[in-house]
Amino acid sequence: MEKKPILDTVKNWVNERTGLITFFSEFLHEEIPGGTRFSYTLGSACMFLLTMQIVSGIWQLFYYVPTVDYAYSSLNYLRLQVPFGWLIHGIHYWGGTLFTIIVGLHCLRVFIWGSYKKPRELVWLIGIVLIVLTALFMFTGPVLPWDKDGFFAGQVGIGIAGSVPIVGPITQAILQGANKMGQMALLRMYVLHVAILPAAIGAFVMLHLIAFRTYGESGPWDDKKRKKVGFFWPEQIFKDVFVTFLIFMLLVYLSAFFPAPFSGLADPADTLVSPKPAWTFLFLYQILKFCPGPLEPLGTAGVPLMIILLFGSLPFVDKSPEKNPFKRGFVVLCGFAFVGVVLYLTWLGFIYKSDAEKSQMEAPVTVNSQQIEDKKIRLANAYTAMIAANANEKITGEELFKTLGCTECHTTTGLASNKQGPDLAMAKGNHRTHEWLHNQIIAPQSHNPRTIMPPFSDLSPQNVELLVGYIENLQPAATAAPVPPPPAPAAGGAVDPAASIKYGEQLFNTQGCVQCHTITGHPSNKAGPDLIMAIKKDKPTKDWLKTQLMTPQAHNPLSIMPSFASRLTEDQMNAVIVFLSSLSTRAATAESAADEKAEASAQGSSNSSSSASGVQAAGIIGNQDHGAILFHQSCIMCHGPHGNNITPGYTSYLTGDHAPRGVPVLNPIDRAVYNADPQLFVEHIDQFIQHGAPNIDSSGPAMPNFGDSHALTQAQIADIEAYILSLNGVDRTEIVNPGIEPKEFFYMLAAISSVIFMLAALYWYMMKLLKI
Amino acid sequence: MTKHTPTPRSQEPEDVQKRDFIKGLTAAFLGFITLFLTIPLVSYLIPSSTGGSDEKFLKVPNFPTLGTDKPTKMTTVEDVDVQAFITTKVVYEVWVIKHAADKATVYSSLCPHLNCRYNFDSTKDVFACPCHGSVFNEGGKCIAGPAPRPLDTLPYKIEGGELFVQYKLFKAGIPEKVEA
Repeated sequence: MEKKPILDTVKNWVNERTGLITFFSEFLHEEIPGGTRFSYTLGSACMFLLTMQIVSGIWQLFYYVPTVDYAYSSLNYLRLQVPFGWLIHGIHYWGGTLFTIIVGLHCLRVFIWGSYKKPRELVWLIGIVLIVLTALFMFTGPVLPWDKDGFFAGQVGIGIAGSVPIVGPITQAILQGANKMGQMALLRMYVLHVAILPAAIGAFVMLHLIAFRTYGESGPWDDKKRKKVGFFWPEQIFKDVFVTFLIFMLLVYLSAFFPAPFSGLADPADTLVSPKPAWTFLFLYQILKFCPGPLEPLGTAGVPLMIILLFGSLPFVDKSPEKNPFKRGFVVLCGFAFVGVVLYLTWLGFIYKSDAEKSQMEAPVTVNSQQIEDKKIRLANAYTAMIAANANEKITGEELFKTLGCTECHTTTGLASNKQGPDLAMAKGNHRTHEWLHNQIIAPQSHNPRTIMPPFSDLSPQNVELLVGYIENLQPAATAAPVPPPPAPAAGGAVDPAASIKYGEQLFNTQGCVQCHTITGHPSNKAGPDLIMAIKKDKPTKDWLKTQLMTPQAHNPLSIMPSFASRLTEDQMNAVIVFLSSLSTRAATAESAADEKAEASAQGSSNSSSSASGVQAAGIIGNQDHGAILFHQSCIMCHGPHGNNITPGYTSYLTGDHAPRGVPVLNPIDRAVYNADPQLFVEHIDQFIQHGAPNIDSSGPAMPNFGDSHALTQAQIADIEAYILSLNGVDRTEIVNPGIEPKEFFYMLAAISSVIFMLAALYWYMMKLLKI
Repeated sequence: MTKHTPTPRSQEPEDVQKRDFIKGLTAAFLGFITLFLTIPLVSYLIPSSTGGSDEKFLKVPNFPTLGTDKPTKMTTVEDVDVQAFITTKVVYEVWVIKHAADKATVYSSLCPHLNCRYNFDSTKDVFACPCHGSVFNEGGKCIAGPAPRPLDTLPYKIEGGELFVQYKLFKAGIPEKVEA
């Protein structure tokens, strides 16, 4: 046969010196008794998944930082901001799960075929070691993100190891590295997961393979079927590679469509988490519940040890050479019973919810079912009214507003209410355009997909116009904030400048400016600059100040300052401008309490005590579900349960005189605070939650400084922020830089592989055709 | 290992053809996986360029009190370096020669040869790099050694008597001054 002689020369040269070619051709020329089968691909599938775990694991180390401060944010940076980070992380996250499942199936297949029997006992035993190593990977891995789930799973797991008699305490000390779960434990889990365990699994996989290849595939139990011989290359390898390809596609699919959850930064102070181990250990976790009190060591150490011993001794106990599973009834039945029990216990563990979790699941507000029924009837009447209104040509906007059911959720008084929707006279301050209001009425979900406002899409266009006109012309019945009376003009109509400055200062103090600005002459931690400092430095003209008050975004398009054009009259505006200009000559207050406060908060942030981390909330991706619960605990007293899945008919327990005044609506939030970019949005609201803010309405409650006072940990604030973003249709976990959009990437791969399939089929068909 | 004579493979043209087809398909699938793993793995490592270098001028303190025409190594005020999820504080070293209250020369502290930090030899009034022996005069011109270009000057401005410098890095080892 004429072959390429140069290639052969090179091959021979290399082979003489290394023996590699001989090794590989022997490796590939494996004979498989009974022919190739898809059921033999499970071992190769494990090898492929292990390779994927190693590659994706190493790749994650390019960004991951194993410190309690940065582990969570580094992982989230990798997942959201690095091209294909979602894929690398997804492959590792789902790869671990698939690996465990396929190792289990592989083990079950070997068990049914009786392939653990002589002379393959040690292959089986090494396999048991590999399963234990896999379990250790699944224990150490989930701790590394240092999120809520992983933190508590690790804490409980290490605690369980510690409760084992005799060796427990020293094991716990070694795993934990300190007297409690923290940086040392994270590093130890990390070193185990990325160095010690990979080295061990690599060594034992080599042993497993060498031992396996010595006797090869055990083949079918039926001797007649064993006569037929199949080959490893290319037939079995083709099947292996085909299964590998399917697994690869499955990994991409799971990574794209089912990303790992963002459970929020680990926070030892968090009482909302009911610790649950990784799913692989759920059956052990469930067994533990059957072992109360003095029996506990049985559950923590006894059962796992027994399982390992049982598996390990199997080839030495079940010594008969019989391989046919139908003739090994007892052993096979025991095996299936074991699998059944493990699956059942895993299922029980999966659906188990602690009492605390159950109570959290229930709506924190009670809803009167009669009220719901009443409301349904009223809403049905409102729909009839809408149809009737479309026919009535003489109806006014106000009549529409009252008959269509708008008043169920909205007030028009200019005061914060306890209804689900914002007060519409107040909401006017958010400067919604005519078109915006129009869309809000006919398709509110187009502005915020999670809003509970029903679309009034059946309303005739004229009536929508009437309604928009009515809302635009609303005048607050009682002004939101009491406006101080203007100074009386002195004789001759001229206003005393000193009185004007004083009036401006009163307006400044009452009309919301102090929410963001200080006038101390010292830097503050508020959202806006200190105005003595700013005005002394920049010496703005009166025209500049006026523009800043009317349209702040004209100076800085990213400014979060709201416009005061409709909040202040011409005279009031001028008074504020005169007051602001006068600040250029005002001296800074003496080293004031404001400074001490700023310093204290700076210290607070550098050694934040209660949180596991010195990272600030705005940089953490919170858990929005926890945020919803925390919001109900800490925020609804003032902000109301807006936008959460509120059943119509909900009534606040704060009614009448107790209704909070002057509290901003969070859903939809003021447009000046809103930003489609989750990071900018969070930074805006973070200021208020961290440092608090005075109420625009002096009689209303002020926003407490949840961060500065440590009333909430930074992790909890991050959770609440994620929830508030979700109320406004912004996803905190949005992938900023995906490389290729996850779903598109999967569809692309699916399309390309279909083309490969079609070409292969076409080629095969052509070959057959040409032969005939 | 048990010695065993390998079972010979069928050499029927049809079987050979079938085997070759399977080999081709195996290669296609392996190639597919390799390709669509390599693309993400490589893109993952390429840092996203975030709008180029910032044009920020940093104050170099103590300029008003600096003596004239004497090269002095000075540090800028603290700047923040944001890399991925970590923000760190940095200061930069620059060489400043003050000519007058409103005129100065500012050099990057890195030698244009291979980015070593050079020193000023006040006995000879030259800048000397300890790594590979490049020597520059006060005008920045290379008078000895392997440096391919003069010392890199940095943009500066003097406002209210204070010096502000825009810190930049340049590609080392090439005759042109190109921002790194």
